[in-house]
Amino acid sequence: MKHSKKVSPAGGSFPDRWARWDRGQRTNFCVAVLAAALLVLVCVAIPAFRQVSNIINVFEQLTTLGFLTLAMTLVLIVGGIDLSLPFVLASAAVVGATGLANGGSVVQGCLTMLGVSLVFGVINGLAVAKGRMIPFIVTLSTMSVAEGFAVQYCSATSINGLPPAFLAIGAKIGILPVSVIVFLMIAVIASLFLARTRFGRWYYMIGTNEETARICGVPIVGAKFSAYVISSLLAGLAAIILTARLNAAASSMVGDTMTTDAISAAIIGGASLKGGRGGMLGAVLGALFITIISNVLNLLGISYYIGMVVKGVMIVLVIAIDVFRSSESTR
Amino acid sequence: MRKQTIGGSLKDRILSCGFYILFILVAVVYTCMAPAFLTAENIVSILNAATFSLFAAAGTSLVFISGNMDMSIGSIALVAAAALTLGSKAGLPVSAVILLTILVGALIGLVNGILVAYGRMNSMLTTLGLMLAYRGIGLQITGGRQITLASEYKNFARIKIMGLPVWVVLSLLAVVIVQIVLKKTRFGAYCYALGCSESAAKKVGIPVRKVKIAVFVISGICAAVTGLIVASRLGVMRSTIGSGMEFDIVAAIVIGGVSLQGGRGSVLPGTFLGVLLLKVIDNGLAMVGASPYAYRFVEGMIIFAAMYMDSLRSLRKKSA
Repeated sequence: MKHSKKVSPAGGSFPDRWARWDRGQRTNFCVAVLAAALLVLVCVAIPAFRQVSNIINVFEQLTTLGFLTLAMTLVLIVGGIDLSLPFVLASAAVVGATGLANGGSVVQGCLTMLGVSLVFGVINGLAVAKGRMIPFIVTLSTMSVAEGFAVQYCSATSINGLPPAFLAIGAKIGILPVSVIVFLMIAVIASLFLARTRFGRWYYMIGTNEETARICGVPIVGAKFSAYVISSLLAGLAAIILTARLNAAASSMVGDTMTTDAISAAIIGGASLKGGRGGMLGAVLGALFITIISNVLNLLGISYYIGMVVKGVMIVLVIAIDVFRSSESTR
Repeated sequence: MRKQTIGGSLKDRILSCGFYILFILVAVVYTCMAPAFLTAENIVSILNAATFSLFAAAGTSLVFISGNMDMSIGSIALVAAAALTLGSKAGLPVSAVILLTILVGALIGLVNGILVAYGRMNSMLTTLGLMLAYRGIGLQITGGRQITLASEYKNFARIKIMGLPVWVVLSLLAVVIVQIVLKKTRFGAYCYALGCSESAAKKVGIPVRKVKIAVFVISGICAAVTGLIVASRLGVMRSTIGSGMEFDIVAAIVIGGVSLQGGRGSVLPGTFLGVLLLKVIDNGLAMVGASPYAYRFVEGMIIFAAMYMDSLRSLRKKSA
C-alpha cells in the first residue's frame, strides 16, 4: 500500500488511521458502526430485548450459528465454500444421539458425532483439494447426501431420551451456559490457529492467489484439505452442543435459513467470496449480528415467512457490500 | 470454442461418455431388481414425471451455459403458483392469469438479472439468498395454507393435444426451442461466448449485461410456467411446490454435461437426458421399494459421481 504521508504503523488520530486503511477496512469499519448503531436502537426501542434472560437466550442461540460461521469463514478464506455444513451437523447429531439413546457413554456419543462429521469433511476435502472439483457443487452434492442420510437414519423422527450426563453440556454454570463458554474457547483457539500457525498463513495465501501460493511452496492440496476437514469438525462440535441444548436430535434440527445465515454472518464478519479475507473475531461478531436479527424479528412477532424475506434480502445486501469492498483492493 | 481432437486413449473415450454408461448401469441394475421397471407403461410414467422439471431445466440451462447460476427457480415456481391462486380466488379468466403468472416470472428474472449484471454480484449466492426471499413472499401470499384452485384451472392441465397431456407437449416444445435458440441464433452464440470467457466476450463487443439479463428473464419465465403446470396439475396450491426443485434441476443440468464454468453443454440431448436420468433413479427406487428418504441420498451420490467424471475429464485435458 502506498502512503501519502508517513505515519506511525499503529495509533495516530482517527483521520490518520482512516487514510491508511484500504477500502475493505473502511467498509468493515462502516459495517461495524452500523451494526453497533442498530444494536443501540434495538436496545432502546424494544424493552424485551435488553432483558438479561433474552440476552442469555441470544448467546445460547449464537453457539450453533457461531460454530457454523467459524467453519464457513475457514473455507471462505481458502477461496472455497461449504454448503453441506448444516446437514453435516444434522447427520452427526442423529447418529451420535441414536448411540446415546441406546445406552452409549457420553464420550462415545461425542466421538461418534465428531467421527461422522470427519467423514463428510474428508469427502469434501478430497474432492475439492485433490479432485480439484468446484467447491460449490461438491458441497451441494454432499449436502444432498448428508440430508438424505440424516432423514433416512432417524426415519424422519426425532431422537429423544438422551442420558443426563450428556445433557450437562447444555446446562448452565450460574447464568452462563456451558455451550457459550465452549464456543468462545473454540473461537479463541481457532483464531490463534489462523493467526499464529503456518496453516493459517497458508489459508490466506491460497485464498488470495492460489497460483502464487503454489509457487511459494505452499502445499495447496494438504492445506485446502485440512480447511474442509477442520470446518466439518466444527460442525460436529456444533452438533454435540445443539443436541445437548435441545435434548433431542432430528434431521430437521437446522432450519432452512441456516446455510444462508452462516454465509451472511461470515461475509458481514469480513470474509469474502473471493477468498483471502476474514478472521475468527469477525465471524463471531457476524454470527452475533445475524442471531440478534433473528431474535428481534422473533420479539417483534414478525411472521416466519417475512423473516425469510428479510434474511434473503440481507444476504443480497451483504454480497453487494462484498463486491464493493473487494472492487478497489483488487485494483 | 476449442475443437475437440478425434480419437484419444480408451480412458478418454470412456470418460467422455461416462454419463451414458451411468445411465445404462442404473437401468440395468433396476431391471434386474424389479422386472416391472422396463415396461412401456412405466417408461411413459417416467416421461410424464420428467416433464415436471423439463420446462424449468430448459430455461435454467441457458443461465448455466452463459456461466451463471440460478438457484431461485424453485421459489419462482412457488411465487407463480401463489399468483395463480390469487387469480383463481379473484375469479379472473384463465388466460389472463396465465399471462400474469408469466409476467411475474419475467419480473423476478429481471430482478435477478439486474443484480447479477449491473451489481456484478456472484450469481450463485445472490440467487441462493433470493431463493429464500421469494419463497417467503410466496408463502406469505398464501399464508402457507393449502388452497384449492377453481375448476377451470384444473381443467387446463387436463387438455390433451394428440393424446398427450398439454404440459408434456409444452415441455418438449420448450426443450426443442431452447436448443434451436442455442445452436442457431446469435443470442445462443452469445451465451456460449459469455460462458467461455466474459472478458473476451466484452472485448469482441457482445452486450454482456443484456445477455445476462435475458438469460435470467428466460429462466424466470420457464420456472414460473413450471409452477403453473405443477399447481394446475395438483389442483391445489401447496407450500411445498418448488421446494428442492433448484437442486434437482442443477443436478440434472450438471449430469447432462453442462459445465458449471459455462460455455459447454446442450439442452437436447444434454439437460433432457439429465432430467430423465434423475426421474429414472426416482422411479426405480420406488419400484425397488426403497425408502422415500433414500432419494436425496442417492441423488447426491449421482451428482458427485457425475462431477467427479467431469473433473477427471478436464484434468486430463489440461495435462494433455
